Amino acid sequence: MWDKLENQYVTNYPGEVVGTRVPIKYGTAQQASVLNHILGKDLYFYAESGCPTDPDGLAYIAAIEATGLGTVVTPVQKCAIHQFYISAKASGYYNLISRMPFPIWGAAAPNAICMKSLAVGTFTGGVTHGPGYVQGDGVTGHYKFNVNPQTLGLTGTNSSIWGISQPGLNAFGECLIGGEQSFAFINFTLYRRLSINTTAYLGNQAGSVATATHQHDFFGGTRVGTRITLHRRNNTNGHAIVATRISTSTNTAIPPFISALRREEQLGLGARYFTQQANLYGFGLGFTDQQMQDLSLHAKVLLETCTGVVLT
Amino acid sequence: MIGFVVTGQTAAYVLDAIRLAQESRNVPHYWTIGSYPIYQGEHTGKFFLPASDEVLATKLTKNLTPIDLPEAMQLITALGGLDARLYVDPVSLIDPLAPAEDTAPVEG
Repeated sequence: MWDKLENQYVTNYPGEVVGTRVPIKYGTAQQASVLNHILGKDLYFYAESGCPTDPDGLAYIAAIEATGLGTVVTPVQKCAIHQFYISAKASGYYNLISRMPFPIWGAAAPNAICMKSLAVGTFTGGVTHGPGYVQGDGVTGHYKFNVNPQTLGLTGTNSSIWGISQPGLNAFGECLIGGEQSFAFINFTLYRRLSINTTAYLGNQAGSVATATHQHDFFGGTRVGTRITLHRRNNTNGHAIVATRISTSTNTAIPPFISALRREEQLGLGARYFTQQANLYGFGLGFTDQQMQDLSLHAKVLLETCTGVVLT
Repeated sequence: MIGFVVTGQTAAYVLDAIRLAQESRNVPHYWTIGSYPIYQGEHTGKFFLPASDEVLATKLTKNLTPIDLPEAMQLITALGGLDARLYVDPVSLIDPLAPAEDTAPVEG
């Protein structure tokens, strides 16, 4: 409808401004998105009916939109975000998530916000905030979670760590998310390295599980007790548990710090900066295999619906 | 890498100022440039503050970059201005004593 005061068209979902484009209510959010892609020069299609909402989804969307002028969450993105929260709670893993930013918004302030807790970390150094991803400069750029995982209940035998990204390239290892204390003994990381392996360390080095031949995909490691599994999902192969290990080590500590886009560390151990595009990362308590499989699907759908990024 | 080479004390002051610039606006501390010890070369023992044109143009929100903030120009002026920036070889930011191997040995 035409807003006489502001001389612009608005929809009723909710009061969305579409400028000079004529708004037409049509179909579902996904159908409207497709039509806008094809015909959206002079027309603007928006969903005939709203989508189910979740209170935590509403809070996250409000936090994103409150970060400043220009950070607008589209109706399609809102629906996808709400669906993620609904799916995560239905699968039973939502309360196991400790921190999970969703850095697709093209700016540091919204990218720093955690979907679960609304806690804000700190982007540090050279980080590019692109459409649908963040990318460190490989020398200084990273994201500090500003929290000790131990205070969130994580232990070496009850923890999980995950992310969606392009493969890392560095022959000496690129850490998508993680922390390490006292080299080789207290390790909680997810490495992504092209053509060699992806390795998740949970608790200590005994948590190492690996796979090869990388693409743009989801990787998630989870540990409950002595059992550690590494999950992978992409559009070529679907979901698979690509590695399983039963750890016999009694050294199960977890570091008191964690970052994304590099391995947070101390004592000059080597930060292992991540150089490629990262779309999503997070950590939490130990997931069951079914829960990690579910997260891999829900995270993939969330990312692909909200952005133009497609897993390979 | 382009940025400022400063003492540890100056680095701490700059990072604190960046933090306060955000918190004084009632927003969380979501961005900083960080400081990085220099291990090799002529500036060994000092700290590197990333301040390339790309870093100063980081999207903080859709319509705000660090260089838009008045505190940014105050800090840059205090550090000698943009012309006082130096090129620092990224290799000099790597601790030569850090282990070269990329993965920890596996046990159990």
